[in-house]
Amino acid sequence: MLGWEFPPFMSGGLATHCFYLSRELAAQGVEIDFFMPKTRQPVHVPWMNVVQVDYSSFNDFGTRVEFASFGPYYQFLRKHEKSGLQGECDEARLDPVGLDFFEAVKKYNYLCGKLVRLWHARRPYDLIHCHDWITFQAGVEASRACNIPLVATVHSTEYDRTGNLWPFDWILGIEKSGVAAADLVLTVSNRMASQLQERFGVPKKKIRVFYNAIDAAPFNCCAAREEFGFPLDSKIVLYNARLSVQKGPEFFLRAAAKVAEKEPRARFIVSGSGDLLPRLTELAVELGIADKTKFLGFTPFEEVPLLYAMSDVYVLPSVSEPFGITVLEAMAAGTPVIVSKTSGVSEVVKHCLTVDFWDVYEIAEKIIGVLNYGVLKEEMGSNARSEAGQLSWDKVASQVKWFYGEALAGGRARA
Amino acid sequence: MPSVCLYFHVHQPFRLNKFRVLSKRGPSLHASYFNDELNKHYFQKACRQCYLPANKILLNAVKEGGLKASFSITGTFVEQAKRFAPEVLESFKALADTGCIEFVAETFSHSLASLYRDSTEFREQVRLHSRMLRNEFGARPTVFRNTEVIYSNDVGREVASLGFSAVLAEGFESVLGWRSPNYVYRAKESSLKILFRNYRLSDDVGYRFGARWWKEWPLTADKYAAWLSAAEGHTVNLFMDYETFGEHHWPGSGIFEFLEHLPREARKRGLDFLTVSETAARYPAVDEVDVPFALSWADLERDTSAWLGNKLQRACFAELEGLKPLVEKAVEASGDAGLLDVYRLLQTSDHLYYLCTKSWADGDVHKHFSPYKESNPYENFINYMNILQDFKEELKRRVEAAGES
Repeated sequence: MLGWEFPPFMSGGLATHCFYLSRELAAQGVEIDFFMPKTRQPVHVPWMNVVQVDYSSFNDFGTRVEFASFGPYYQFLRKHEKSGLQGECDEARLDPVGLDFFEAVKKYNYLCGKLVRLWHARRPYDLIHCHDWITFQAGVEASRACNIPLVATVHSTEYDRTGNLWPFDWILGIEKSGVAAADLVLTVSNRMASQLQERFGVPKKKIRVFYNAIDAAPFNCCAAREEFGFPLDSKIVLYNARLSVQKGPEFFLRAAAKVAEKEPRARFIVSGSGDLLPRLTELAVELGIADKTKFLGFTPFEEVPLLYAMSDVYVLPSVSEPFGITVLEAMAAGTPVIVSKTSGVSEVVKHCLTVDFWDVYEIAEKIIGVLNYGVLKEEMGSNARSEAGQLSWDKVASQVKWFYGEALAGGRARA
Repeated sequence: MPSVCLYFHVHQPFRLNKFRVLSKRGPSLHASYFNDELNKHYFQKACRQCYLPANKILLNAVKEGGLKASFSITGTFVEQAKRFAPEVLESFKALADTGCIEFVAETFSHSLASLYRDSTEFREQVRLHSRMLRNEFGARPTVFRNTEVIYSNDVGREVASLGFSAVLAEGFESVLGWRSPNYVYRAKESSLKILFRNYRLSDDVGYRFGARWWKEWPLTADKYAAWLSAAEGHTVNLFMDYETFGEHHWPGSGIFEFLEHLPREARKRGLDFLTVSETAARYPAVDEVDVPFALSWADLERDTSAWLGNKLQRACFAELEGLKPLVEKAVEASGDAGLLDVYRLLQTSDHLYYLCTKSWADGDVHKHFSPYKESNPYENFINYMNILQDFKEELKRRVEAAGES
């Protein structure tokens, strides 16, 4: 399995997905080597072998791979923690060689593709499973070189991440050739499946849809809301996602301003980092809600459950949301959710409120509704909890395992 | 051979508007709370698909002789008929004029007022409805059916004290036990008679008629009449929504042909049609039935959980119940009886029905009937509660305004 991030080195849903999927696949008897970039501290998990790619990875094989100015990865990951995948380069944080994000992706894929082949020669793999464009090149190259099937999961496309505004052609190219080369393309919602058909011309019979799941246990917690320093009787509205165009944080703030007019006790938490941060802080001032809004920056994995527990409502107004794992997190925590209709998660869960992401009036109406009527939080929260509890990772893993079987059968038929 | 007691329920609610708390409400409460465009749309559609063609068939059958049937028609239906389709009211009047149709009493606005702790509102709504029946159809009802056939010992006591001789109820095993619904029974410690719905035979038409998975599909009038004539007991009580004809089952299913042929096929077999009061009068009560908890004809549970099953529904219900004294005060203070009308229309049980979140199998039925296709129970709750809160504020304002002047 080829990945990019893995807890605790993570910026979004991809790491969560790889963590739980690999764990449950391993529990179901699938042997996995997980390839990912080298991180500051090594990643270890008991259920699989994690191969962290850099030059030293080749020492075991007695080969050397030349790729000029290839530096350690943790800088990118740190940057990436700070400002998200779309983040502009933060010069101070880059290593002296001055690698940028795209360069890093290229090199990781180059090295990873070669390394998988070496491991395969030692102990053959049955198939390769890669996640998102960021690993596609390595996946395609290795599957060709080893002549084994390729399964590619598309968690989001460049169109989603840029909110359809300025997709980057280089990335689109990688995505297109990746899904074209894959024997089977997995994706996280029906709307993604139709996007892959329409925009990348993937034939329908090659696409398999599954829905992400949730490990609900950590979200069953309590938290003291005083920690935010807000008045005790305040009502807390939460945004927890990258601060990028894709997730619609602007719509959140605009709706927040309308809520503040009607409900003076409302307070707003913006958790997440990203390139829009400066713009959003300015906007909060412009809208006159700066004193009621807290920008938390990136919230680490283990603190996220507390965030939901402290909040009265979670809002995710994504412009384009392939899935939206955070919605399941909030539901598992029993926090009412308002999510945009253009999200994959709304295909699979019923106990949430849906809105058009651009309709800030409607978002505000719904926030006010949830804040005003405590009984809604009780009813929705308990139903949401049990609904999220139904979506478990072991079910996802059995589906994915089934898809592996299909890919293998297809591969044999081809041979 | 039993006689056949056909009873149809006719109802349309005043559907709610999308109510926004962020924008200022217009001066008219009715126009702000109720979506008359939507109401008109649904009402006229139902007239075309169901009421007009079904009434025509029944009228012919009555003229051919032998057919009798009973109707309950809600006040909200009649109000909408006056506004949106007077011809449908005329066609019901034509049926009434034949003398073979009996009208059944209920609450004016199809409310759950029978479940309020204080019975005043319930009694007022029943009187209001009876007055409407007298004015519109010249009818004097003697049999009562509660909203959604909700019945319990308590409801029975109220109904008996209002002077009715019989009441309709769901013939469910939880209260009947081994006893057949095909007899007339008596309410607990009372002479009030109870007619229990034969839900198997009723649902064969109301629910399963168009179901291709059903082994008896397609159901013909001939086959059904044979079943009726083979039934044991004194009476087969067939109670169903009138919208069964043409709405729940579309015309292509053959439902109208079924309705047309049933009276003839029944007559061939010597079956006798009786209205509800005739059934109650003809047969003696064979036993007393104790119904300690509310029983209804809805969903698999046959209880009140379709309207009061979750916290959202109970919160709105409590709000409605609690508004009564304030409404009275505001009406008195402002002299505006229109406030009472709005209060009544807000009590229609359909508003609570759309907040139902229970099991998905039943939930699907709820969704099927919901006019708010785009929204879910939580959104419906916010909207309904917003309206109730706005109404409450308005009532308080009226009371205060009168206090100042």
